[in-house]
Amino acid sequence: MLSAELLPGTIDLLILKAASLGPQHGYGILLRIEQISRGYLPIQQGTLYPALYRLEDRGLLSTEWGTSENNRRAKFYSLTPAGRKQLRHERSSWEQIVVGMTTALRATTDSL
Amino acid sequence: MRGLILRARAAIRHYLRRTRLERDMDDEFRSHIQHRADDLEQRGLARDAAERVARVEFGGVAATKEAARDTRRLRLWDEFRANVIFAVRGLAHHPIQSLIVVTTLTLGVGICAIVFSVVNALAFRARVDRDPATFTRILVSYRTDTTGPSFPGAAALSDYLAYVGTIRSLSSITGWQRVRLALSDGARPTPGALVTCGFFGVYGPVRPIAGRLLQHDDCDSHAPVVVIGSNVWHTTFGADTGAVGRALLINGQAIRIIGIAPPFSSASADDQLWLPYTLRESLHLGPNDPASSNAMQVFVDGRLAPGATRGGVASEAGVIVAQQDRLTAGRHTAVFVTDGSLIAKLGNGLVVTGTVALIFVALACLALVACASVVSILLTIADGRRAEMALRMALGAGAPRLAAMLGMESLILASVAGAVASVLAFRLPRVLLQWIIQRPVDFSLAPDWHVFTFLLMTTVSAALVTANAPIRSVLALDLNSTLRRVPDHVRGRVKRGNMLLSAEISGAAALLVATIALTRLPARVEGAPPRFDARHVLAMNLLAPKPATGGWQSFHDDIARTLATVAGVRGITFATAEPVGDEATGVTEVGTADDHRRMLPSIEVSPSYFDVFGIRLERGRPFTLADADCTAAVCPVIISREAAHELWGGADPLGQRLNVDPTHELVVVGVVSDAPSAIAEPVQALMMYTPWRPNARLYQPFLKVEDAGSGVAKRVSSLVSERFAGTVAAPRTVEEQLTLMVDTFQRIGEVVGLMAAITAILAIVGVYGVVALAARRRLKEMGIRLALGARRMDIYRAMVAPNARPVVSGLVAGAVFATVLALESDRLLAKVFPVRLMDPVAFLFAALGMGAAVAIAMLLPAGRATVVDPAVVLRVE
Repeated sequence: MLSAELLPGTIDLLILKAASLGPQHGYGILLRIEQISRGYLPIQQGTLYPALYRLEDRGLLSTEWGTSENNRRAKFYSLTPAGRKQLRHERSSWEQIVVGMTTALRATTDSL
Repeated sequence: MRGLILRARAAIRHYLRRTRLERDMDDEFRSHIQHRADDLEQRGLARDAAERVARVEFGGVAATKEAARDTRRLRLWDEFRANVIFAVRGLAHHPIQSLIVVTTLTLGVGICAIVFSVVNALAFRARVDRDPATFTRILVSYRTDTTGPSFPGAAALSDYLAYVGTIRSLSSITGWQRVRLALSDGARPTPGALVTCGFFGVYGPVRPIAGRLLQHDDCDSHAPVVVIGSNVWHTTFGADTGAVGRALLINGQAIRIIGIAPPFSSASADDQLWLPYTLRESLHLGPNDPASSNAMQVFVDGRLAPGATRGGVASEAGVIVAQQDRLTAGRHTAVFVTDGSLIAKLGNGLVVTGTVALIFVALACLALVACASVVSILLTIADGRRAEMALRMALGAGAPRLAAMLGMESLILASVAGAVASVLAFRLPRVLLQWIIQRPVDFSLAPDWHVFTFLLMTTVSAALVTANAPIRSVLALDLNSTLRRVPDHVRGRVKRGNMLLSAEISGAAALLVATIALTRLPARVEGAPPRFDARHVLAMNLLAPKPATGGWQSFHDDIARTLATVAGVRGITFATAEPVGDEATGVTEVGTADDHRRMLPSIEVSPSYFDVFGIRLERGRPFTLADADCTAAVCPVIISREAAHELWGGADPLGQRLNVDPTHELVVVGVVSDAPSAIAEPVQALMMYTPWRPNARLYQPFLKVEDAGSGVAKRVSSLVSERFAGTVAAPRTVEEQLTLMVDTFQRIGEVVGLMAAITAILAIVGVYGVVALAARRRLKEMGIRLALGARRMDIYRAMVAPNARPVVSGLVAGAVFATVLALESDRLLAKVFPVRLMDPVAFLFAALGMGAAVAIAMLLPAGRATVVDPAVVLRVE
């Protein structure tokens, strides 16, 4: 597990990705992020909700109250078309950063 | 941008559904903790332990909710609401001061908005009811190979006809010419216009009260038809709709009324009769033939076609007039396209811009005084809340929060004032203007976006300016000393108070000068008799159709012979105007030998003019019969003494040459005394008299009479109507004409004077506030002085002395400011305003009045300080 904090903005990307895999309530999104990141990217439970509300206000997530698998009342978050577009855009940006960073970090004196 | 809109919409939605939002957050967090507890329970923890662990893992619910509220900008709403409540409570604690502040700001912002609204309607937009943005005026300036360019103005009818159907940038176009027409029913000439038949399309839509408006067929068929205005309809036909279809005798011709137009905005607001331009010849106003040397000249107005610009109109019109120039040998035409507003009118630039600038300076002065008064009152309120503010600071309220709380008070006060002012700006301009001109205003005064932008800016500026001082005074509080009720260091506040005092006094003094000067204006005009005999000269105000035979020369001879037979008439003269600057006075551009060119008021006169008006010939000779109809390269001119001084200083004016154009000169043959009244000199005393050309046009007869009250006016009026068919006269003594002019100035003076007086009172209230605040702050000091044996006189001196300097500097600054304003007004308005504003008496009375008001404002609070009980004051403070 990484001990470092998430990079700024990455929590929004992770939430959008988690929501893209199907509608989920807040706790479900938290579990899904842990699951898809294989536990490498833990999220403080308290920081999840401000991020969810921010994405909702930006029109990237839509919400609906429903019943969870535990038979409890829960608020479900789904990706909107704008959210899907934003996810594509952010994923593309992220991949460019990863390629750039990886290339930079693998550089040796011979490759200069 | 879309993101911002979405977030703003979400913020508003969250605020409106606040309760549900809070409940949803509670439910969602509870659900989260329960789901986590379910997981932990499945992993073997007991339910109670699982829920406890889940709650700990989640963290503080309150903190999470607070973070969520921040995200959703609810905290801003909360703070805004709290600030509003704080401000309303604060204002409710000081209801009288709040009312004074709102009233002061309303008057300040309201008067500014009303004046701006009128200025905007008069100067910044075309006088049309519909869509001023598309209104376009085409002006032309003609020159020939031998003469210089004419002043941009009306176009030849042939040029207008060339525009029609050719200029694609205009969706509609019209040409019109103002005329004065003789009606059979009244002696007074009636203003009207010869118009092309698309006139109402450009100035409309106008819905006729009855009948119809002009149509293109009316012009093509030379139909003898007229559309009358509502004034003529009321005065001549008693508002009877049966007037439509009846014949009206205009310039001796029977013209059928086809419609009655309601009041509507147009370039010539006084017009009451609109006739097809093709009736010009039959109304004896000149030939219809566009190729004639005396052809009609029309002002050309139009509406921009969709997507077109005035630049495009100028280009198209330029090409067309260039083609027209090729048909007229030696003619060269320049085209000017404007939006029809007064400020865009060529030649108006300096006068209108200068006048508008002066008005804005006066408004700024007024706003300054109003804001300074409000600031002094708000400072007094803030002073009473020092302890409360210090306590809030001690409890952790930061400077931005306190500033926002205090700023909200000013914002609320200014918003209330702005709202009331906007209502005033809607209602009052028309009422005021109607009262000044004493007839309905027939052009649109509706506020447009200029007015609302001005109102918004003024209101926001007032809020910012008035909030600044109280906020700074609170933020500068010394927490320790304030909470312990120890007076802190007051030098900064005293300095600020002194500046406020100086600013208020200078603004108020300048306005008082304006108030007194304007109030005295009518009395000054009436009290200073003109330097010519206005009481015994009758201006005939004659209106006559062009003589069919014999020309104007024989008409003038006949009129002179006829009027000379009337009992009580002692002499007769002809001229273009009486010797005061009014609409009839012409302006001629002349150049002196040193190539210095300037515009001089000019009147064409017959030889007996100076005798009839009793204007003394100081040097040289009067005009003789031989001087009339001068066609030589050098013609004689007589000038006023002031004009001679203006042009050549102390040098002998006789024999001096004035260059009119490359082929014409004037030689000074005589100098007469300055005709106009003493008040107007030297501005209006400038005058140039040239010999008349009796056959060229109709000149107004002026009669020297023994006694104007003996019925001579009625006798000459009847005689003219009897002997000269189609001719009407409205004789009035020149004195009466001057009185009419003075009446208008009196009403302008009263309105402006009233506004200035209100502002001056506000300023005095503000001065009282500042001094009272200073007195209150120094109560303890006065208590100590009294305890140490000071006499009442010492207390008075101690209270008044610190304010003496700002008071004196304020009075001096105000006097300087008022002087600059008055001199600049006189210079800029010299051509349009017949009297001067510079009035030493106004300065004297303003200084005395302001001094007395300030003395009372300082002595009253000082008086209260002399009767304090030292023991009580020292204990309380």
